[in-house]
Amino acid sequence: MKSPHARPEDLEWKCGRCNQELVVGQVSVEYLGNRFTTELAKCPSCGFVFVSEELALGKMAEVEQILEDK
Amino acid sequence: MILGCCGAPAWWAGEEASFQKEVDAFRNKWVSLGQPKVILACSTCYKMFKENLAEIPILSLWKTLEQIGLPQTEGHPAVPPLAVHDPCTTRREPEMQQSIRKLIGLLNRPVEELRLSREKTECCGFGGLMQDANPALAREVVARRAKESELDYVTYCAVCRDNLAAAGKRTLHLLDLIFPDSADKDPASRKRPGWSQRQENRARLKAELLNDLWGEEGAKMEDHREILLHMAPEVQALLEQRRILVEDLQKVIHHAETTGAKLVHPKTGHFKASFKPYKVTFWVEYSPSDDGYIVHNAYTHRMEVPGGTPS
Repeated sequence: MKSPHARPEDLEWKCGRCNQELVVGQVSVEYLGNRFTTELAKCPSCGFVFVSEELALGKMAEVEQILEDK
Repeated sequence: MILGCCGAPAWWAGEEASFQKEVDAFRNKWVSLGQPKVILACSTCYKMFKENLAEIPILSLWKTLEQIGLPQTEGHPAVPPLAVHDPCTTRREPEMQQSIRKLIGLLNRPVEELRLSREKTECCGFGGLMQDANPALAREVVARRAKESELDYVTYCAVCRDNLAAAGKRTLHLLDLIFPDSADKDPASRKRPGWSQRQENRARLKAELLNDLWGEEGAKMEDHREILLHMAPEVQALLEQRRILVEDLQKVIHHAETTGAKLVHPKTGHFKASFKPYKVTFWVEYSPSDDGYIVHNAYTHRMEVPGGTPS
């Protein structure tokens, strides 16, 4: 997965627990033994990572499918 | 009485280990019950038992009813004939197909044979998990089957009944005729229950059987199941298509509200939270209501984000 995958509207969300604005940061994602690094919106304090609907159903689903079909 | 799975979905999915586990579990249960004869209502179970649990003596519910006789029901007025849809797993079960026709005859309902029936019967779109693997093809297959006759259909597989009904075809399950429900005046028009409703129905059936037949109390409902959710019809339809259950939503919201791990949108006031109960991560966008929560959207992904949802 290429980075970055954080969109400006993703950064409109705030972390409810830390009351912090989300920032774009490095995140590792894994699937079926494969690991990727990308940039996503996350809480700078607790590390809560936001996966948007567009990313989950778009690029992520595409990569999941490719790895499952391997 | 056993409510359980014969393992067919795992077999069709090529999950041989899961399938074997299911089959072994049933065999052990059967041995612990004293190796009784097993009466099966589902033709797929019948086929799976025959092929994988050959040591277990089985009988179809339909043959059993033919032998012991039907319960007394009110006489049926003159009614149009019904077209029989044989489930695909009965293709090599002519005796079962014959029992069905005899039982329908005993209920004074004339039968019309579809062009392709018995050993040439067609699929309802579920067989081999077509509905999961290729939903568009499954819809095409069932729509074609539904058009074969203008008459109401009668079938003896719950999945065939629901899939034909979902394709807009008036369809009865044979049990609707044998054990009519006075509260359901037109069972042929009953809609296919959604995934969540199915789960709910199974839980209710188990609770009722435990209570009414054995005087036992079922397991206490888990905390998250108490959460009341509201959804607009279009959200409900979308989640149905995405195969997201009400219980999945309840788990996410329960986790978010007990841990505080959620996002907040300052403009809309909506919350967004995620939770991974097993292998799939569920995301839910929701907001509080007077008595519970309003669900605005939900989606899933299988890719994992280690540490992405602090507990």
